[in-house]
Amino acid sequence: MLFKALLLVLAIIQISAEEYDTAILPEAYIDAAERSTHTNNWAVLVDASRFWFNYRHVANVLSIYRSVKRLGIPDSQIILMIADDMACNARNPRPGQVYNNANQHINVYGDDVEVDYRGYEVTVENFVRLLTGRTQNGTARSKKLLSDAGSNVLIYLTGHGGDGFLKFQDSEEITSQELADGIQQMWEKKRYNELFFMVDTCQAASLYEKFISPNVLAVASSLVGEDSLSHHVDPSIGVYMIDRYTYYALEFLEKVQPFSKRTIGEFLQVCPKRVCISTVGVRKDLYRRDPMKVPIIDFFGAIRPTRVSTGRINVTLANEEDFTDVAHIQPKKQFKIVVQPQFIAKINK
Amino acid sequence: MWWKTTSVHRASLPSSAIERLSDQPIKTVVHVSIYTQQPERAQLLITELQNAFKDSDFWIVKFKQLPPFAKAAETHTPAALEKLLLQEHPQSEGDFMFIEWPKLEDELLLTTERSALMRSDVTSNKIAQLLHSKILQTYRVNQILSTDERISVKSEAPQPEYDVVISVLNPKPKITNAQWNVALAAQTYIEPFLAQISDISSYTVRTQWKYRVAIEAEMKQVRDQTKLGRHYALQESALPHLLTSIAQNLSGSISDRPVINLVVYIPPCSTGPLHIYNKKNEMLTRDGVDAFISPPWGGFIIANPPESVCLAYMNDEPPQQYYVNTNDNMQVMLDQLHKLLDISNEVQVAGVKTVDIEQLAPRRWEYEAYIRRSAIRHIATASNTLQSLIKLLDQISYIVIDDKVATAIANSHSDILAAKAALLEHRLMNASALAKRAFVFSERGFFDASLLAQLYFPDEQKYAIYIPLFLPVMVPVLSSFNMLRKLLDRKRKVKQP
Repeated sequence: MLFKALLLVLAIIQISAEEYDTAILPEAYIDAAERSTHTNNWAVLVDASRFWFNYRHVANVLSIYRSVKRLGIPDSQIILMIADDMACNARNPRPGQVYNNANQHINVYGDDVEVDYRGYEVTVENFVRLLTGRTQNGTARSKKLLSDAGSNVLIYLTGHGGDGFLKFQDSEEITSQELADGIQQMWEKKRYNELFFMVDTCQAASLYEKFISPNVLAVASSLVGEDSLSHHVDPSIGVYMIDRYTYYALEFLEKVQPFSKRTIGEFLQVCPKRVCISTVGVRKDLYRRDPMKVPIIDFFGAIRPTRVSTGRINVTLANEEDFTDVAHIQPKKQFKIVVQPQFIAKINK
Repeated sequence: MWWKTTSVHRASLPSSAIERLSDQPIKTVVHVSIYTQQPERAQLLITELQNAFKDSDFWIVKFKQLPPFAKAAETHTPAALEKLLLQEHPQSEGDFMFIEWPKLEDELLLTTERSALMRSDVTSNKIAQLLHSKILQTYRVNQILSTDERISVKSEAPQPEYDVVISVLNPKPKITNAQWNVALAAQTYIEPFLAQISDISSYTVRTQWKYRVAIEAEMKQVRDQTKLGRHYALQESALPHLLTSIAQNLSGSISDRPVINLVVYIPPCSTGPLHIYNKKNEMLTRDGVDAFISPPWGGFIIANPPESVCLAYMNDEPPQQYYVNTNDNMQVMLDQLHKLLDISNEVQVAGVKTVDIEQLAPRRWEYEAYIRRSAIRHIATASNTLQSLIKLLDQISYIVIDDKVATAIANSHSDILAAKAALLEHRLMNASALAKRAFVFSERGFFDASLLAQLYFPDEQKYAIYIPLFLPVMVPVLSSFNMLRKLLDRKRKVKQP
């Protein structure tokens, strides 16, 4: 009898323990499902317009460049396309510097900018080749988007746009269909895990309308029929400094640190209508996760998976002395420097 | 004529055959032989194992019993027994053998060749578990072939070519006067090792010294009992950022091949010796090794200078010249390469022990599992690539398909079929070579630059451009027809009356 009672007690404990387990499970499961499965990060940042009066577009793209670099995406995984060189423009009173506001608060040009496509290389063709991976033979490795199935890709576009297109340079434009096709081809070849598409241009929302690929989250500075506005003029250079949307985006990103808990959901609300004047458009229907639970560093930072490994393979193929033996080390070739006189003084005499 | 000159050249492709590629699953034949002292036991194990593998999605495992023989009783070492067995029953690539050895400590002992020793009381369950987790690596193959994006593998398939760049970083050569013939070290260890595993990818080894490349990470001083009285702690969480800070200076992007970086970092005595600490503030150094890896980027070894060198620095003596220990660092580097190339298998199974590697080559079963996995990976990736390319080409009718792309697609398709057949016919190396070729061809086809040439000239634009051009031209032509008709009518009227 006592034994039976004991069994019963045990069974009850068992059941309650199981209940406890199942109560815990769903949340853990949801958590796991919400966590990103990416293994690396890429960023494609494009400024599509040139000429001095478009200073603000260069400042836009450099703002995002500065942020992703600060948050840890290495230069080898950032493709920067800038159609014009504002830092070294003859009209720039502060050579080598590009600022995001008239008070010269942040020099977005920074110390170290690696531009992958510059000037007339910024074309629709090159951009689509970059997205689809169909680069021409001889394209340098640093100019390719070498993402894989584990890559989270950030695409940022800025320039002058209209309903369904974005103008490149002053001669051509990319249509929303071409963009959607390019991204679909990336998806088909498993070249991204998740994609965050950001665009700051007039009627920006029209650019993401045709997307059909899964796992794409898109944000645009203005809806169709709206203009995106610039933030302010710097009287000393005579042009607009930066666009409103990117200005507030940078303001937000400056507060983000590499291990920050800030989410993409918060980032999507950086520019409410009262400050942006245009309405920020967001497209979430292709995106699987809840943006409020996605850390912003899933797209703007880079987490390289590292793992301490202290194993060794116990093979010894030579004595230590063999390597330190001076005979093996080839002596540096001696060379003599001859300084040729630049001006022949003798003739002058 | 206008229509003909503007029509798009599209070579014919085996579209329907490529779409049918996924109908036929990838199945691999593996031969496993079992030797026991009592034939009944082997018989029993085989029946049980055959049942266990009956419903396998990927494997067709053919079990074979090795009959006992007289000489077996005379052998005193497992190695000798294995040798005798191999003389009778030679193995080919990808095969495996279980040999009973009653005096074994563990239930199963994996050798460095294609065999495992088993104790007499091992259950068939354990053997099946070992086969799945270590030899066949079913869970990894599952990841490769899974269509669920949360499970599926996130890394790239093995590329046909890699650059292996060994970089020695010495940020302050004036403080740490380190000497090392790193080129010779690479020739002695790394190159021969890579030469033995170059069936899937070929490797080019380069070495370089980099001075004044500082790592950006917070290093905290920690007091200790050594003569120096202190060492520096590097937080584990700071490692990813550290790699990003040095990656730019390694100039790996010069060549067109993907790079595997192997970094040996010599900390200057001002921040050395340097050790890695985890979040719980525990030192992670084992056997004097401070190293970490970040696949697929590469590995990082901290080669602390000897105590005497840093002691001299602390006493403000002139810097001592010293040699970096080659054997020590190369052993760690070899282990890192095993992990980076994804050859080593780190799954632990209770009761199973694995013999340590004591030669340069990887364990044969491990390497063959890697080849098998890579072959399956290449076949799966190439099939996916071809299918998505066909889908794309069918969807967009104005993409040019030139003969080069068409040949690449056709070759890749035939190689996929051949590789699948080779896996079924138990020709592993052949299958691997075919799969690799199929993969290379499919990538070449998909990423061919010519596929984009006329993307900006779709049919609608053709009408939009040519109709306004040709229609005005057609007006005088058409009106001249009218004129001719009138002329003929008039002539007839003249004739009739």
